[in-house]
Amino acid sequence: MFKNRVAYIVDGDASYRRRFALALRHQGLETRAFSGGGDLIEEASYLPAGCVLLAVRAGEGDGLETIRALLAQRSDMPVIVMRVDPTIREAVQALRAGAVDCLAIPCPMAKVRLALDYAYEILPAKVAHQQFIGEAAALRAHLTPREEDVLKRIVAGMTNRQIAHDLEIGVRTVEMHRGNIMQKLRMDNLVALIRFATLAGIAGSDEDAA
Amino acid sequence: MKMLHEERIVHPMTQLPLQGTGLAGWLYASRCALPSAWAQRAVDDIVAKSVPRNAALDVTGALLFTGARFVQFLEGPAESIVAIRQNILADRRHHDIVTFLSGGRAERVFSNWSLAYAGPSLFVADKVENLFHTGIRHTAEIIDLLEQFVIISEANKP
Repeated sequence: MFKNRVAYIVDGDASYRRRFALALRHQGLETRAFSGGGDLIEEASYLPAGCVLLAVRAGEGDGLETIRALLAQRSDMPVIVMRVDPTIREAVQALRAGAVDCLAIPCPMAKVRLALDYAYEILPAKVAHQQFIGEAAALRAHLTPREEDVLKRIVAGMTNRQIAHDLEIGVRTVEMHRGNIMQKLRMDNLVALIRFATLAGIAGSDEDAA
Repeated sequence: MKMLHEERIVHPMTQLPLQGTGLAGWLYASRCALPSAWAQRAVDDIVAKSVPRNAALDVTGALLFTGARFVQFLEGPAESIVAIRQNILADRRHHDIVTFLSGGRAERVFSNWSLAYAGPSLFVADKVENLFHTGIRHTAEIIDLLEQFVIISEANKP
Protein backbone atom coordinates (compact mmCIF):
# COMPACT_ATOMS: atom_id res chain seq x y z
CA MET A 1 0.00 0.00 0.00
CA PHE A 2 0.98 3.62 -0.31
CA LYS A 3 1.08 4.74 3.32
CA ASN A 4 2.32 8.31 3.84
CA ARG A 5 2.60 8.89 0.12
CA VAL A 6 1.20 12.01 -1.48
CA ALA A 7 -0.31 12.12 -4.94
CA TYR A 8 -1.15 15.38 -6.68
CA ILE A 9 -3.99 14.99 -9.11
CA VAL A 10 -4.44 17.57 -11.85
CA ASP A 11 -7.58 17.17 -13.91
CA GLY A 12 -9.96 19.69 -15.48
CA ASP A 13 -12.74 17.09 -15.35
CA ALA A 14 -14.20 17.66 -11.88
CA SER A 15 -16.19 14.46 -11.55
CA TYR A 16 -13.40 12.20 -12.78
CA ARG A 17 -10.95 14.06 -10.55
CA ARG A 18 -13.09 13.41 -7.45
CA ARG A 19 -13.62 9.75 -8.28
CA PHE A 20 -9.95 9.23 -9.04
CA ALA A 21 -8.88 10.95 -5.82
CA LEU A 22 -11.25 8.74 -3.86
CA ALA A 23 -9.93 5.61 -5.56
CA LEU A 24 -6.35 6.62 -4.75
CA ARG A 25 -7.24 7.32 -1.12
CA HIS A 26 -8.61 3.77 -0.97
CA GLN A 27 -5.10 2.68 -1.91
CA GLY A 28 -3.75 4.45 1.16
CA LEU A 29 -2.49 7.56 -0.61
CA GLU A 30 -2.93 11.11 0.55
CA THR A 31 -4.26 13.18 -2.31
CA ARG A 32 -4.43 16.83 -3.29
CA ALA A 33 -6.48 17.68 -6.32
CA PHE A 34 -6.07 20.65 -8.67
CA SER A 35 -8.30 21.68 -11.54
CA GLY A 36 -5.40 22.92 -13.66
CA GLY A 37 -1.64 22.63 -14.03
CA GLY A 38 -1.22 26.33 -13.22
CA ASP A 39 -2.72 25.88 -9.74
CA LEU A 40 -0.29 23.09 -8.92
CA ILE A 41 2.69 24.99 -10.33
CA GLU A 42 1.76 28.04 -8.22
CA GLU A 43 1.99 26.00 -5.04
CA ALA A 44 4.65 23.56 -6.20
CA SER A 45 7.59 24.97 -4.28
CA TYR A 46 5.81 24.60 -0.92
CA LEU A 47 4.44 21.10 -1.38
CA PRO A 48 5.89 17.94 0.13
CA ALA A 49 7.45 15.68 -2.48
CA GLY A 50 4.97 13.38 -4.17
CA CYS A 51 3.85 11.96 -7.44
CA VAL A 52 1.91 14.10 -9.92
CA LEU A 53 -0.90 12.54 -11.95
CA LEU A 54 -1.49 15.05 -14.70
CA ALA A 55 -4.60 14.53 -16.82
CA VAL A 56 -4.42 16.29 -20.17
CA ARG A 57 -7.94 16.73 -21.50
CA ALA A 58 -9.10 17.45 -25.04
CA GLY A 59 -8.75 21.17 -25.76
CA GLU A 60 -6.03 21.64 -23.13
CA GLY A 61 -3.18 21.44 -25.62
CA ASP A 62 -0.38 18.89 -25.29
CA GLY A 63 0.39 19.53 -21.61
CA LEU A 64 4.12 19.66 -22.37
CA GLU A 65 4.54 23.20 -21.05
CA THR A 66 2.93 22.16 -17.77
CA ILE A 67 5.28 19.16 -17.45
CA ARG A 68 8.33 21.31 -18.17
CA ALA A 69 7.28 24.17 -15.87
CA LEU A 70 6.52 21.75 -13.08
CA LEU A 71 9.81 19.87 -13.42
CA ALA A 72 11.74 23.13 -13.66
CA GLN A 73 10.49 23.90 -10.16
CA ARG A 74 10.28 20.42 -8.75
CA SER A 75 12.56 18.05 -10.58
CA ASP A 76 12.05 15.65 -7.67
CA MET A 77 8.38 15.03 -8.46
CA PRO A 78 7.70 12.13 -10.84
CA VAL A 79 4.99 13.13 -13.32
CA ILE A 80 2.59 10.60 -14.82
CA VAL A 81 0.56 11.96 -17.72
CA MET A 82 -2.96 10.64 -18.25
CA ARG A 83 -5.02 11.14 -21.39
CA VAL A 84 -7.96 9.64 -23.22
CA ASP A 85 -6.59 7.41 -26.00
CA PRO A 86 -3.05 8.80 -26.04
CA THR A 87 -1.43 8.53 -29.45
CA ILE A 88 2.11 7.26 -29.75
CA ARG A 89 3.25 10.77 -30.58
CA GLU A 90 1.54 12.29 -27.54
CA ALA A 91 2.94 9.66 -25.20
CA VAL A 92 6.47 9.93 -26.59
CA GLN A 93 6.36 13.73 -26.35
CA ALA A 94 5.28 13.49 -22.71
CA LEU A 95 8.10 11.03 -21.91
CA ARG A 96 10.64 13.18 -23.72
CA ALA A 97 9.42 16.23 -21.77
CA GLY A 98 10.30 14.36 -18.58
CA ALA A 99 7.17 12.44 -17.61
CA VAL A 100 7.88 8.95 -16.24
CA ASP A 101 4.87 7.47 -17.99
CA CYS A 102 1.69 8.07 -19.94
CA LEU A 103 -1.47 6.20 -18.99
CA ALA A 104 -4.77 5.98 -20.82
CA ILE A 105 -7.95 7.33 -19.19
CA PRO A 106 -9.77 5.36 -17.88
CA CYS A 107 -6.94 3.33 -16.41
CA PRO A 108 -7.40 0.15 -14.36
CA MET A 109 -6.22 0.69 -10.78
CA ALA A 110 -3.78 -2.21 -11.11
CA LYS A 111 -1.93 -0.31 -13.81
CA VAL A 112 -2.07 2.99 -11.94
CA ARG A 113 -0.55 1.16 -8.98
CA LEU A 114 2.25 -0.25 -11.13
CA ALA A 115 3.11 3.22 -12.40
CA LEU A 116 2.94 4.67 -8.88
CA ASP A 117 5.09 1.84 -7.49
CA TYR A 118 7.85 2.88 -9.83
CA ALA A 119 7.33 6.60 -9.20
CA TYR A 120 7.55 6.23 -5.42
CA GLU A 121 10.51 3.90 -5.77
CA ILE A 122 12.55 6.59 -7.51
CA LEU A 123 11.19 9.47 -5.42
CA PRO A 124 13.77 9.36 -2.57
CA ALA A 125 16.69 9.51 -4.99
CA LYS A 126 15.03 12.38 -6.86
CA VAL A 127 14.44 14.25 -3.60
CA ALA A 128 18.09 13.79 -2.61
CA HIS A 129 19.18 15.01 -6.02
CA GLN A 130 16.93 18.09 -5.83
CA GLN A 131 18.34 18.86 -2.38
CA PHE A 132 21.88 18.51 -3.70
CA ILE A 133 21.11 20.90 -6.55
CA GLY A 134 19.71 23.41 -4.05
CA GLU A 135 22.82 23.20 -1.90
CA ALA A 136 25.07 23.38 -4.94
CA ALA A 137 23.31 26.52 -6.15
CA ALA A 138 23.69 28.09 -2.70
CA LEU A 139 27.42 27.33 -2.60
CA ARG A 140 27.90 28.45 -6.18
CA ALA A 141 26.34 31.83 -5.36
CA HIS A 142 29.51 32.59 -3.37
CA LEU A 143 31.72 32.41 -6.45
CA THR A 144 32.90 35.63 -8.08
CA PRO A 145 32.26 36.08 -11.83
CA ARG A 146 35.95 35.37 -12.46
CA GLU A 147 35.82 32.17 -10.45
CA GLU A 148 32.76 31.17 -12.51
CA ASP A 149 34.81 31.72 -15.67
CA VAL A 150 37.55 29.49 -14.33
CA LEU A 151 35.11 26.84 -13.08
CA LYS A 152 33.43 26.54 -16.50
CA ARG A 153 36.79 26.02 -18.11
CA ILE A 154 37.86 23.41 -15.56
CA VAL A 155 34.64 21.53 -16.28
CA ALA A 156 35.32 21.80 -20.01
CA GLY A 157 38.54 19.88 -19.35
CA MET A 158 41.01 22.72 -19.85
CA THR A 159 44.37 22.72 -18.08
CA ASN A 160 45.46 25.65 -15.88
CA ARG A 161 47.76 26.81 -18.66
CA GLN A 162 44.97 26.73 -21.25
CA ILE A 163 42.64 28.58 -18.88
CA ALA A 164 45.29 31.24 -18.22
CA HIS A 165 45.81 31.69 -21.95
CA ASP A 166 42.09 31.78 -22.67
CA LEU A 167 41.31 34.36 -19.96
CA GLU A 168 44.55 36.25 -20.54
CA ILE A 169 45.64 35.96 -16.92
CA GLY A 170 48.64 34.33 -15.24
CA VAL A 171 48.82 30.62 -14.48
CA ARG A 172 49.43 31.48 -10.82
CA THR A 173 46.22 33.51 -10.80
CA VAL A 174 44.31 30.54 -12.23
CA GLU A 175 45.79 28.33 -9.50
CA MET A 176 44.67 30.86 -6.90
CA HIS A 177 41.12 31.00 -8.32
CA ARG A 178 41.07 27.24 -8.43
CA GLY A 179 42.01 26.99 -4.78
CA ASN A 180 39.32 29.48 -3.82
CA ILE A 181 36.71 27.60 -5.89
CA MET A 182 37.51 24.32 -4.18
CA GLN A 183 37.32 25.98 -0.77
CA LYS A 184 34.05 27.81 -1.44
CA LEU A 185 32.40 24.72 -2.90
CA ARG A 186 33.87 22.57 -0.11
CA MET A 187 35.52 20.18 -2.53
CA ASP A 188 38.82 18.44 -2.02
CA ASN A 189 39.40 16.87 -5.40
CA LEU A 190 38.76 17.38 -9.10
CA VAL A 191 36.47 14.36 -9.49
CA ALA A 192 34.15 15.69 -6.78
CA LEU A 193 34.24 19.11 -8.43
CA ILE A 194 33.29 17.74 -11.84
CA ARG A 195 30.50 15.68 -10.27
CA PHE A 196 29.25 18.79 -8.49
CA ALA A 197 29.36 20.78 -11.70
CA THR A 198 27.51 18.10 -13.65
CA LEU A 199 24.75 17.79 -11.05
CA ALA A 200 24.53 21.56 -10.62
CA GLY A 201 24.10 21.91 -14.38
CA ILE A 202 27.28 23.89 -14.98
CA ALA A 203 28.22 23.36 -18.59
CA GLY A 204 31.74 23.59 -19.86
CA SER A 205 33.10 26.82 -21.31
CA ASP A 206 30.41 28.18 -23.61
CA GLU A 207 32.96 29.80 -25.89
CA ASP A 208 33.82 26.30 -27.02
CA ALA A 209 30.29 25.48 -28.06
CA ALA A 210 29.61 26.24 -31.70
CA MET B 1 18.40 -28.61 -22.58
CA LYS B 2 16.59 -25.99 -24.56
CA MET B 3 18.71 -23.95 -26.89
CA LEU B 4 19.01 -20.40 -25.62
CA HIS B 5 19.02 -18.75 -28.97
CA GLU B 6 16.44 -20.60 -30.85
CA GLU B 7 14.83 -17.96 -33.00
CA ARG B 8 11.11 -17.85 -33.49
CA ILE B 9 9.97 -16.24 -36.70
CA VAL B 10 6.48 -14.84 -36.60
CA HIS B 11 6.66 -13.24 -39.99
CA PRO B 12 8.11 -15.60 -42.59
CA MET B 13 10.48 -14.12 -45.11
CA THR B 14 7.97 -13.70 -47.88
CA GLN B 15 9.60 -10.52 -49.07
CA LEU B 16 12.75 -10.21 -51.11
CA PRO B 17 15.47 -12.66 -50.18
CA LEU B 18 18.25 -11.34 -47.99
CA GLN B 19 21.26 -11.13 -50.18
CA GLY B 20 23.71 -8.77 -51.79
CA THR B 21 23.64 -5.04 -51.25
CA GLY B 22 19.91 -4.41 -51.62
CA LEU B 23 18.22 -2.63 -48.72
CA ALA B 24 17.01 -5.02 -46.04
CA GLY B 25 15.33 -4.62 -42.69
CA TRP B 26 14.93 -6.68 -39.54
CA LEU B 27 12.57 -6.09 -36.63
CA TYR B 28 12.86 -8.36 -33.63
CA ALA B 29 12.00 -8.41 -29.97
CA SER B 30 13.68 -10.42 -27.24
CA ARG B 31 13.74 -10.86 -23.51
CA CYS B 32 16.56 -9.47 -21.40
CA ALA B 33 18.53 -12.27 -19.74
CA LEU B 34 20.16 -10.05 -17.12
CA PRO B 35 18.89 -9.02 -13.70
CA SER B 36 17.62 -5.45 -13.80
CA ALA B 37 20.56 -4.13 -11.75
CA TRP B 38 22.91 -5.09 -14.59
CA ALA B 39 20.61 -4.33 -17.47
CA GLN B 40 21.26 -0.58 -17.63
CA ARG B 41 25.01 -1.16 -17.91
CA ALA B 42 24.40 -3.74 -20.60
CA VAL B 43 22.32 -1.23 -22.55
CA ASP B 44 25.08 1.39 -22.22
CA ASP B 45 27.56 -1.19 -23.48
CA ILE B 46 25.34 -2.25 -26.40
CA VAL B 47 24.88 1.39 -27.43
CA ALA B 48 28.59 2.20 -27.15
CA LYS B 49 29.49 -0.77 -29.40
CA SER B 50 26.55 -0.49 -31.81
CA VAL B 51 26.99 3.15 -32.79
CA PRO B 52 30.39 2.73 -34.50
CA ARG B 53 29.68 -0.82 -35.76
CA ASN B 54 26.36 0.09 -37.37
CA ALA B 55 27.78 3.27 -38.88
CA ALA B 56 30.65 1.27 -40.37
CA LEU B 57 28.20 -1.25 -41.87
CA ASP B 58 25.87 1.51 -43.14
CA VAL B 59 23.13 0.19 -40.88
CA THR B 60 20.53 2.53 -39.39
CA GLY B 61 17.64 1.93 -37.01
CA ALA B 62 16.77 2.13 -33.36
CA LEU B 63 16.83 0.09 -30.16
CA LEU B 64 14.28 0.18 -27.37
CA PHE B 65 14.54 -1.36 -23.91
CA THR B 66 11.63 -1.65 -21.50
CA GLY B 67 13.52 -3.16 -18.60
CA ALA B 68 12.33 -6.62 -19.60
CA ARG B 69 12.33 -6.61 -23.37
CA PHE B 70 14.52 -5.38 -26.16
CA VAL B 71 13.02 -4.29 -29.46
CA GLN B 72 15.28 -3.38 -32.33
CA PHE B 73 14.73 -2.36 -35.91
CA LEU B 74 17.73 -2.45 -38.23
CA GLU B 75 17.94 -1.49 -41.88
CA GLY B 76 20.81 -1.42 -44.31
CA PRO B 77 22.58 -3.45 -47.01
CA ALA B 78 21.33 -7.07 -46.83
CA GLU B 79 24.80 -8.47 -46.19
CA SER B 80 25.31 -6.05 -43.27
CA ILE B 81 21.97 -7.04 -41.75
CA VAL B 82 22.85 -10.74 -42.08
CA ALA B 83 26.18 -10.18 -40.34
CA ILE B 84 24.71 -8.15 -37.48
CA ARG B 85 21.86 -10.59 -37.12
CA GLN B 86 24.28 -13.45 -36.51
CA ASN B 87 25.99 -11.41 -33.80
CA ILE B 88 22.72 -10.49 -32.16
CA LEU B 89 21.41 -14.05 -32.21
CA ALA B 90 24.59 -15.20 -30.46
CA ASP B 91 24.45 -12.52 -27.77
CA ARG B 92 23.82 -14.18 -24.42
CA ARG B 93 22.41 -11.05 -22.80
CA HIS B 94 19.01 -11.80 -24.31
CA HIS B 95 16.89 -14.79 -25.33
CA ASP B 96 13.47 -15.66 -26.76
CA ILE B 97 14.32 -13.70 -29.89
CA VAL B 98 11.26 -13.27 -32.09
CA THR B 99 11.47 -11.89 -35.61
CA PHE B 100 8.51 -9.78 -36.68
CA LEU B 101 9.79 -8.38 -39.93
CA SER B 102 12.60 -9.50 -42.16
CA GLY B 103 13.39 -8.90 -45.78
CA GLY B 104 13.77 -6.26 -48.44
CA ARG B 105 12.81 -2.66 -47.76
CA ALA B 106 11.88 0.00 -50.30
CA GLU B 107 13.49 2.83 -48.34
CA ARG B 108 15.04 3.66 -45.00
CA VAL B 109 13.00 4.96 -42.10
CA PHE B 110 15.98 6.09 -40.00
CA SER B 111 18.89 8.32 -40.95
CA ASN B 112 21.19 6.89 -38.25
CA TRP B 113 21.19 4.34 -35.45
CA SER B 114 20.36 5.29 -31.88
CA LEU B 115 18.87 4.20 -28.61
CA ALA B 116 15.25 5.32 -28.95
CA TYR B 117 14.21 4.70 -25.36
CA ALA B 118 15.31 2.78 -22.29
CA GLY B 119 12.98 3.16 -19.36
CA PRO B 120 10.13 1.92 -17.24
CA SER B 121 7.18 3.37 -19.17
CA LEU B 122 4.14 1.09 -19.07
CA PHE B 123 2.85 2.80 -22.21
CA VAL B 124 5.91 1.62 -24.09
CA ALA B 125 5.89 -1.83 -22.45
CA ASP B 126 2.23 -2.28 -23.47
CA LYS B 127 2.98 -1.40 -27.08
CA VAL B 128 5.72 -4.02 -27.08
CA GLU B 129 3.44 -6.66 -25.55
CA ASN B 130 0.84 -5.81 -28.23
CA LEU B 131 3.42 -6.80 -30.78
CA PHE B 132 3.56 -10.29 -29.27
CA HIS B 133 -0.19 -10.66 -29.10
CA THR B 134 -1.10 -9.33 -32.50
CA GLY B 135 2.17 -9.93 -34.33
CA ILE B 136 2.69 -8.51 -37.75
CA ARG B 137 -0.31 -6.20 -37.62
CA HIS B 138 1.56 -4.08 -35.10
CA THR B 139 4.98 -3.94 -36.71
CA ALA B 140 4.16 -0.56 -38.27
CA GLU B 141 3.07 0.74 -34.88
CA ILE B 142 6.33 -0.34 -33.24
CA ILE B 143 8.45 1.20 -36.00
CA ASP B 144 6.37 4.37 -35.59
CA LEU B 145 7.04 4.28 -31.83
CA LEU B 146 10.80 3.98 -32.42
CA GLU B 147 10.66 6.71 -35.04
CA GLN B 148 8.73 9.13 -32.81
CA PHE B 149 11.28 8.71 -30.04
CA VAL B 150 14.11 9.45 -32.46
CA ILE B 151 12.33 12.39 -34.15
CA ILE B 152 11.28 14.06 -30.90
CA SER B 153 14.70 13.59 -29.36
CA GLU B 154 16.33 15.20 -32.42
CA ALA B 155 13.86 18.10 -32.22
CA ASN B 156 14.74 18.71 -28.56
CA LYS B 157 18.43 19.06 -29.28
CA PRO B 158 19.63 22.64 -28.82
